[in-house]
Amino acid sequence: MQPYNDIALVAPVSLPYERRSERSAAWFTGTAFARMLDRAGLQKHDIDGLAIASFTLVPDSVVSMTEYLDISPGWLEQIPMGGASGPVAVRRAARAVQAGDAEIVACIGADTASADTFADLVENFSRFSTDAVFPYGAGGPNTVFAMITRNYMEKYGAEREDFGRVCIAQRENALAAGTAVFNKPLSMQDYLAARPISEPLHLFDCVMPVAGAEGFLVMTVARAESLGLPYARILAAGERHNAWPDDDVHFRAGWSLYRDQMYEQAELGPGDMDFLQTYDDYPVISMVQMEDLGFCEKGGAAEFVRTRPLTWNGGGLPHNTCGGQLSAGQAGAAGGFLGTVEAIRQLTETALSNQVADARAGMASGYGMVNYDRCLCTSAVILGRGGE
Amino acid sequence: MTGQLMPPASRSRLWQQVNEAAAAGLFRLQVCSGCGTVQYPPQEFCSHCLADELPWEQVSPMGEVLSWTTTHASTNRFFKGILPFHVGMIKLDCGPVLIGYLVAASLHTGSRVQVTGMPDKSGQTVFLAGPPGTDPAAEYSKLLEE
Repeated sequence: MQPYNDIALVAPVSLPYERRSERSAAWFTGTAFARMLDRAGLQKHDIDGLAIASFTLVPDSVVSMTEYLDISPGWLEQIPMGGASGPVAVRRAARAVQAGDAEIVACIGADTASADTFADLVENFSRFSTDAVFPYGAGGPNTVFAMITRNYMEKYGAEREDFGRVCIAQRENALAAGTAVFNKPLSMQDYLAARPISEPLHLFDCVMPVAGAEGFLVMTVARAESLGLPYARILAAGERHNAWPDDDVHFRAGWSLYRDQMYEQAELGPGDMDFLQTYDDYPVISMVQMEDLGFCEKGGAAEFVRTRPLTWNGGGLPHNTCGGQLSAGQAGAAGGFLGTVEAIRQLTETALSNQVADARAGMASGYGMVNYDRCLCTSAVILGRGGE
Repeated sequence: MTGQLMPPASRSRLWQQVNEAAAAGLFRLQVCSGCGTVQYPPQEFCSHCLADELPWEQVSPMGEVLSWTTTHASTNRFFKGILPFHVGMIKLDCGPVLIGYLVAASLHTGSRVQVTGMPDKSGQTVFLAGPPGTDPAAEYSKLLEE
């Protein structure tokens, strides 16, 4: 795979999440776009590439957005990969810039949330889901991931407290960042006493649907430096979809198939990562990512989280340093950008009071799209601090 | 019936075949005429060999519970009225993994179960699973067509 030489990620932007919004996904997209331009000191016509991931932008698309934003880009991409869309946007946009198809690409994940958007989304998510999952309680991903979680617990001896450790550390990170929808401390007692949603999942294992947007700009390092912008570099990236289709119950995913290639390309190992931003739709999936991305052995994540601090300043593996979706809420496809955007913030020293000291390299991974009994899409990037 | 809450009625066009089999008291799934792979959920072509002749044939309704959950929350008003209920992933002896309602007696990983298709209150077939030779309907009377 060709290296991603000299590509810069700049202007990480997160719009504050809202529990409910009357505004459209187009507003969240456009407002994130404006904020990114402002951060970078650019005019909208400087942007000649646009990549968007959104569930609720329909009936509009990235095409409609060009008219709403009154821009005339020469490169467009719509990424239908939900929680995997952030690292995938990095890959697509980086290649476009490398090939000269675009000079500056704006990558945005944005979704709104009204009383009905989440229920409507779940009802019509896929044909398999409509026929064979939704009629069993309309629980959406909770039903499927409850069963994935139980299987993981029985297979590897993980306990509820282990998932609790992930959630509690993320809440501490969220409190440090100060931006999350959930802004009260979470104790193990609170975690264990929470009401059941779909056993073994309880309230704090599940993400709250919210409205929000996340985005960043992709350009050459030369351009970023000429603009005087702090940037992160892409050291490696990968994606794999519908991996391990013969596993009856999902316990590993595509990351396991390309993580070695990524570390080789980055000339770094998991021990060199100053942080890890996983896709945390459920804590079990963060633990599967710790395993499949090589931070511990397969099945070893429970032991890993028992012994390794996961907070931003705990001296272990800073994990989901802004609190992740389990604290911030899940802003649809923006949730797929959250980890990537936080990774860029950390590497450009623009995080809030949750800045990991001397962060030089880190990983962000994505995971999305429950078609039937698991998510199909996986993605990951290794990023490094710019100028090094 | 006016005002009565109903379970979701939307299904793909292929689901009519599932309804017809359940009405006849049969457990029929698509079996690829090219390679014999049993498909579930329904497809228009075989996911293994990509052939598009998938006749509906009677297959074994027996299987094993891979995992399960007890659901205590739903955003759907009908399902809120029948909480809590149990859902399982069942590895059918004929191949596919099927998600279905489980009776309380089968809430163990590895339980042997028999799957039965029955019409719910919307008239669409749902699959229920319980110990072989038993009738799973009694535990789900609020879900099923009277």
